[in-house]
Amino acid sequence: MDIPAALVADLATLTEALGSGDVDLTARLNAVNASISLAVASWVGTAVSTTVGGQTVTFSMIKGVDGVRASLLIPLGRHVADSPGSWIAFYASTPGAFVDLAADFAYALRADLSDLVLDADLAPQREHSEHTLTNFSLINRAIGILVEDGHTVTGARAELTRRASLAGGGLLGAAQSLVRTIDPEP
Amino acid sequence: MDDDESATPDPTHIDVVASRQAASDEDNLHASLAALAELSTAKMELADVLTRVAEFAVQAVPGADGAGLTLLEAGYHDTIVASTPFVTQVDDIQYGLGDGPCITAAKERRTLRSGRLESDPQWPEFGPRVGRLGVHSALSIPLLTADGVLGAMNIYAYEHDAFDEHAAHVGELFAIPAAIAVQNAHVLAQTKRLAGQLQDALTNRATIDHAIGILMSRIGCGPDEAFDRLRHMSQSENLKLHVVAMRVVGEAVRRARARHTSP
Repeated sequence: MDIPAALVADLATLTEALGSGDVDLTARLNAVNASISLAVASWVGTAVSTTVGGQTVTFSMIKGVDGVRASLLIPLGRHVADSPGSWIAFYASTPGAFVDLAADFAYALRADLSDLVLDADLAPQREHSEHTLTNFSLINRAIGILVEDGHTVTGARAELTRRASLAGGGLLGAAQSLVRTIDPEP
Repeated sequence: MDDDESATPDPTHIDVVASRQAASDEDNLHASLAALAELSTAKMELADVLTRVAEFAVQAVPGADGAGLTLLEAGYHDTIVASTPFVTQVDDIQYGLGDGPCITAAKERRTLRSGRLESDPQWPEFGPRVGRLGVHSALSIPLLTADGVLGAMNIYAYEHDAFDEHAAHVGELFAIPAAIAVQNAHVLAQTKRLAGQLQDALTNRATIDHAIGILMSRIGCGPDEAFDRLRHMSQSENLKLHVVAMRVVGEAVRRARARHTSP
């Protein structure tokens, strides 16, 4: 399954940010997908979520969202530093497709089978639509504006949170309002 | 005792010995398979997991003195491990030449067996060189999944003709769960690697976006122009983008602190 163009663009942005000549995040995701598709014949998609500075970004690619009948979510927080909420999820079109793999992964991760979430995420895109790289960047640019205004990075985050609380519109809304004061047409 | 009788092997004795050997081989195989099933990749790097699989293979296959395992990954360097140093020497020769039983087994997806490597016409350069190391037998088994070849397992012995059909059969039996263990370890390793790299990339991107916000505010421009300026600094100073961004952010924070502390 080809990675959608929008996700390829996001991964290219992040590959540039990574600054490592050896790593192409699109190729890495393709490799994970190739491997999981060997293990699970009815695999239809993958989602990866990670959190930085309190902001979550979720990347997903699923062929035929309405046809998802099985999912396996693997918490990765113990294996990825400074990101306790990180996880990866795989999706399949056949019910029970991940039962055996979940057992193998639980063994391999020294986790209880209950630590892996089976078949609880059968409507993936509807849950992750706000956790985009675009929103992540917008919030961090707002933080940058506040840093230039005299805050530390930590203080800027706190100030943005305060403004969001006052406005009642959430962190993204506060960031959009702040960025518009500099760039009215983002 | 009649000399003729003492010179003739007792068929019953032979059967008993063979039976005991078969039982011992089966015990070794079961023990290796059980250990493989309990193999944990929790805190192991992929190479460690593959090395353990190679070690279990030595236990499982009768006659084996050492084993190596190669995991093929398109677009990346192959992962090659060995249970003992002499196997590393042998595989260094194999991969240096680009020819040898493991390579052939993976390429042709079939088990290969040789009891006289030094004179085996299949590998006219590899064979004599490892023969001079004292390694004379090889058993190479591809690690297969439903859709392709993951890699191959190489089992070596110093003795000539160390691996018979029974050993090959045992090796092939072991290779089935070994391939699954390798595949699962590989998926987990790739997954953890991807998650870690995404984490690092997002951390850098956050800094870059902070710098973009700083420049937007300072210059009064949009994000694209601010990003272009960062890129230009990165290229002209030959520094990575996130390093330049860190500097911009650091300077802004220091200026802010100076403003707060100045009278």
